[in-house]
Formats: sequence, C-alpha cells, structure tokens
Amino acid sequence: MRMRGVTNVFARGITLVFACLVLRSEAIARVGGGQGYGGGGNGGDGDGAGAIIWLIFELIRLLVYLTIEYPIIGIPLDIIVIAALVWFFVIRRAKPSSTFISSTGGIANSSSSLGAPSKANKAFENLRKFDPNFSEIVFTDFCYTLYAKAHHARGTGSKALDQLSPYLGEQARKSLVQLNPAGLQEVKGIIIGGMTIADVRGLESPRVNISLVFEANYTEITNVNNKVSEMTYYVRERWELERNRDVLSPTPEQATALHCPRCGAALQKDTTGACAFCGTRVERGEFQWFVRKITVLDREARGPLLTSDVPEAGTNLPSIVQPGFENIRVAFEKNHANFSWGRFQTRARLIFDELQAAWSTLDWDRARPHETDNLFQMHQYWIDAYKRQQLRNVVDQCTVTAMQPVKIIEDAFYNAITVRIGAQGYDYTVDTNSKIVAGSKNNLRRWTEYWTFIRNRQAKPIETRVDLNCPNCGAPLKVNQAGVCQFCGGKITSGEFDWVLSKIEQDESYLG
Amino acid sequence: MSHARFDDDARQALTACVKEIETRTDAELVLAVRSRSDSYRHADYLFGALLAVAGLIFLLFSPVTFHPNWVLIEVVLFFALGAFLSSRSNVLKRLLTGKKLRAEKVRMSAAAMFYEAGIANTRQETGILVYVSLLERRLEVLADRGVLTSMPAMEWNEELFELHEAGRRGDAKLLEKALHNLSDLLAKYLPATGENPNELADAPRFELT
Repeated sequence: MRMRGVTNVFARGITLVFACLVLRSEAIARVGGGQGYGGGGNGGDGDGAGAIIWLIFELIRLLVYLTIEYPIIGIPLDIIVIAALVWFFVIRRAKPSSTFISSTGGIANSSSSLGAPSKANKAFENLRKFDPNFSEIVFTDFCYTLYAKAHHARGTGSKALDQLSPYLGEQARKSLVQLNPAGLQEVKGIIIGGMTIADVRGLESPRVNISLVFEANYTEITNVNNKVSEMTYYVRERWELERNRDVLSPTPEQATALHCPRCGAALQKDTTGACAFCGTRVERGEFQWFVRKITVLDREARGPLLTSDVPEAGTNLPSIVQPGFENIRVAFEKNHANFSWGRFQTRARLIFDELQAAWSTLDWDRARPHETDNLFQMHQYWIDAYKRQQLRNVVDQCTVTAMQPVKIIEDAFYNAITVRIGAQGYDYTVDTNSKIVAGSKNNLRRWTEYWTFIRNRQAKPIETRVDLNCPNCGAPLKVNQAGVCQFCGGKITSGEFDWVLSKIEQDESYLG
Repeated sequence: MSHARFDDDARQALTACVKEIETRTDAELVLAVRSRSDSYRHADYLFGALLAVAGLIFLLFSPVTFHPNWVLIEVVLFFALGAFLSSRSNVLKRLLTGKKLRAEKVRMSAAAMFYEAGIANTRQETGILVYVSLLERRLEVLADRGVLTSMPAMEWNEELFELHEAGRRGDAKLLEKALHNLSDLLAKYLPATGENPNELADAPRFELT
C-alpha cells in the first residue's frame, strides 16, 4: 500500500527528528557536566549547531524524497516550506522596526554614544505630541527622587520597598534587595552624580520605554555581631522604565511626591496589596513611569579617578544652535515682555562666577541658591569625591570670554534657555600639601560649555535679578540645603522666582 | 466579547450620552464602536493550515486506510474549513494573533479615523475620539491638543484608565458610565462656551457587522 509507504517515510522522519533531539540533549549534558564553564558552553554550542545543520540537511533530503517519490504529499509541502521561507526572510525582515531608537547597543555604547542625547531630545519632542505635559526637567526630578527613595527603602527592609510597588516592579525590587549585605541597617548619603538617558523606544506602540544609567554613591551601614560598620559605594545602574504612552504627566509636585499614581493619596496598601484609598493595584505604569528592571553595572568602594589631565575637546567648534532659533527667540521675547537678554546674561555670569568660586574652595553651599536640586546633588557628588581623596580642584583667574544663546525650550511647566559659555582660567588639582597632582598653574586653559538655565512658567513676570539677593523677598541670599530662603521661605532653586542653572554639558556631548 | 452587549438599547444609551457631552462641553466627542479593526486574514489561513496539517497526520497515521488520490483534496478541504471557522470566530482570531499586533491594528484604525473623520481639524483643537474595537477588546482615546492642555493630569489619566477598562471588558454599560464621568471632567475644565460651533456629527458610529 502506498499510503503505508508514506506512513513509513513519515515515521522515519519523526524518528530522525527524535534522534536528533536525543543527540542534542546528550551533547549538552556531556559538555556541561564534564568540563569547565567556558569550555563547556562553547562545546555545547558547537555540537548544537552541528546537530541543527544535520537536521536541516536531513529535512531537505526528506522533502526531495517526498517530492520525487510521493509528489502528492511532497509538492504541497514544498509550497508550504517555500512560502514560510519567503515570509520569514522577505516580508518579516521588510517590516519597519517598532523601536524608535536602536536598543541594540550595549550600555557602554548607548550611554556614551554621541547620538544618544540628541535622539532622546527628538524622542521627547515626539512624546510631547501624545503627552503635552511631558517635561524633561520634571522627569529628571522624578527619577532622582525615585532613585533616592528606592535605595533608602531597601535599607529599611523589603516591606518599605514593597510600598513603592506602583513605581518599582517586582524584578526591580528583587534586584535592589539582592544588593543588601547581611545586617544592613540603613542606606544613607545617596547622591546621584549623573543620569544619562541611554535609550527611548516604543513611541509607535501604546507603551513607551526609557533606559537610564545612574552614576551614584551611597553609604551602607551594617550591624554584624554588634559591630557597626559603614561602606561607601560608587555605583552605575541601568534602570528600565516604562509607561502608557497616552497618559498625561503630572505636575512637578505630584510627580516627585511619589504618592499613589492613580488617586494621589499617600502610598499605603491594604491587605491585597492595592492602594488603601482607591483600591487599585498599579503594577504596570498605567498612570506614571514604572521601573521594570534594574541592572547593576558597577559597584565599587573606590571613587572616580580625579587626577587625569583630559584635554579640552570641541572648544573651537562652531556653536550648535537650535534650528529656527531666531524665530523662536522672537516669539519668546514677544511672549515674555519683561524678559531682558542683557539682564539674563548678567545673571548667567554672576552664577558662573559664584559656582567657580564655590568649586575652587570646596564650599559648595555657596552654589546652593543658583542650582536646581538635581544639579546641586550632582556637583555635591563630585565635591565629596574630591574631599574623600583629599584633593581640591582649583580654577584660578577664571573669566567668561563669550556667551551665546543657542536654544530656548518652553514645555508645560518650565522655560529653558541654553547658552554656550566660553571661559578661561588656570585649572589644576592639588592635594592637602598644595602639591599639584593634575593640570597646571601656568598654562591658561580655554574651554566652552553649554549651560541650561530654567525658570518655572508660573513664575511672576519680574525682572531677572542680577545681584546676590533672594529673587522672592530681596533679602541677602541665604538658603538651607533644600534651597529655601531663610527669610521668606520661598524655594528659590526650583526656578519658581528666577532663572537657576539646571544642566551643564560639554562640547563633545552637546548635540542640541 | 459579544456584540449583543452593544444591542439597540445600549446604542441608544450611548448616543444619548454623547449628545449630552456635546451640550455640556466645547469638546467635540466622536464615539466609534467597531466589531474589529482588521480582518486578520493571516489568522484564518494559519488555522486552516493547522487543521490541514492535523488532518494530514490523521490520514497518515490513522489505522483506516485512505486512498492517496483523496489526500490532497481532503487536506485542501481541511484548510478551507479551518479558514472558514476562524473567519467566524473572534476567539480563534484572538488565539492566533499577537497582542502587540492587535493593539497596533486598533491604534492604526483609530488614528486613521481621527484624521479622516476630521477630528484632528477642529477649530479649537478640541476633538476627541473614543474608539472601541470589540474583537481586540481594546479602546483607544485620541484627544487633540486643546483637550489635553486643558485637563488636569491625574483626573484625565483616571478617566482614561476607566475607559480602557470598559473597552477591555467590552461592556456597554461600563462604557456609558465611563463616558458620563468623562463628560463631568470635560464640563468642568472645558465647559461649553456657546462660541465653539458643533463641527462634527454627534451620532456615534457603530460598525458591528
């Protein structure tokens, strides 16, 4: 009977596939069990690839056999196989990727990639089409707050960390808890040195994903056998955030409060793990950004290297000016009748001078009134790093040589102006004996940087302040660590009253 | 999800709800309820192919002997039967298509309607499309800039969540309730001024064939 013959052929085919699988599993077991980790892995891969090639070859042989001997079966099978191959190699490959920005690069590549900031800016512009409230400044504030609260919470225990579940996924919380050493009592002194937006993707889909890389330090306090010890770590972590694309970003106050993202009540859970007030389990970023995954890239007790001489790059390059800047500038001036470029630039110079003086003397509190909380924290990270290594970076006779406005951004909550500042001075690093360990006291160094100043859109339309007085009450500038004026109680570092410095970018990393 | 849930009573209730929204707010709301956002023909063919393969295996390994000349015809018949069954079944289509693909199709259809129906071109940028696709169990809300910039984020997100839930469950009553809540929100932050002309047809679009 011919059909029996065909059955036999198929039985042979199935036996062949089974034999193949048996051989494959045998190969894996042998290699993995008998050799070292690296060698075992390689051997297994080689045998596996060989088995697959052999299987494909045998399947082709089977198809040829069927086509010739039993065309009634073989030809339809040929058609199916060819159609599947065409679909896989032509149609599927031709489909556009849903990834907005390539996510294939490793972290080293994406975080240091020159294209990343520019692509992130473009992605954020696109996101604003769906969410006009989206503000990079507010998003950054939110991420800084969440980072600090998450690490603080892991020091308090996994229950405290679970309270943050509307913002931290299970996998992310597990990754954080895994960092905890035995006898951990507290995580304190959490300072973020920098946050890089490594990737933004998914803008064509209902879910947007953002990858961030944090550079930070914190101190873990442990108590083992009644012996209390402290250990400070410098870490790099990659955080994967996601959110529904179409939701509206909350106001800055709501974003950084880290309350229930649905009802806005304080984070408090009922027995089912849902919000005690609105009864919702928020677990996927339905309302606000949600951390899906955390990967620790580096974690060392050693601080960053501060004694290397890095030559200036890009100082002589032309300024990168926002496309259509002149028109944007005219529109901005029209919408802000009280704004004066002269006063703005005078204020920018004043802040520049104050910051250089504060940096050189390691008296960073002097810079507090002029920087946003995040930038101040970032600079504090570096100041602390210098202090821990008993070093001091000095910029002598520092003067501003040029200042050029290059970009104006107005989002839902903030106005931001970026200027390219040209400066010169003697830049060197000294140790506790005043011995120069990097840089030079004799070689005049020239550099340019892109400085971004922000001001809250709700700020009263008053003249830009060009002296060292509180922009709210006019009293001499005296603020606490939170950036609040000690006389009027106004928070002057959030741009609610006047322009404050939000970001400093180097020539080589700035892309507009 | 059954179309029965969007029966005549439900349709009338939703029509009344949309009319009420239009009177209370300057927003121009368009409600569209569709049975599906794509034919998902490939799912039919896939099910047909699966049935054909299953049939072929049955023919080959069955203790009953079949004449070889019938095999091709029977395989083709199995394929046609599978494709037909799948074309009639939302469950099969859902099983044989990816969630991501279904979401993409709904989003594309909603976006196409947003532009083609002129919702994106209202004078004060106050168009809103609430698009429900029953097979995919999805609801999309596309709102123009004028609406988004007027709404407080937390409350808007809350309404959005409720609408999506209603779409996911395919429940006309839930949808009506969510639309009423949306109506309150719109009336509060984008109230009817009497100056904004009614630029879009108020009647919901039901395409449930």
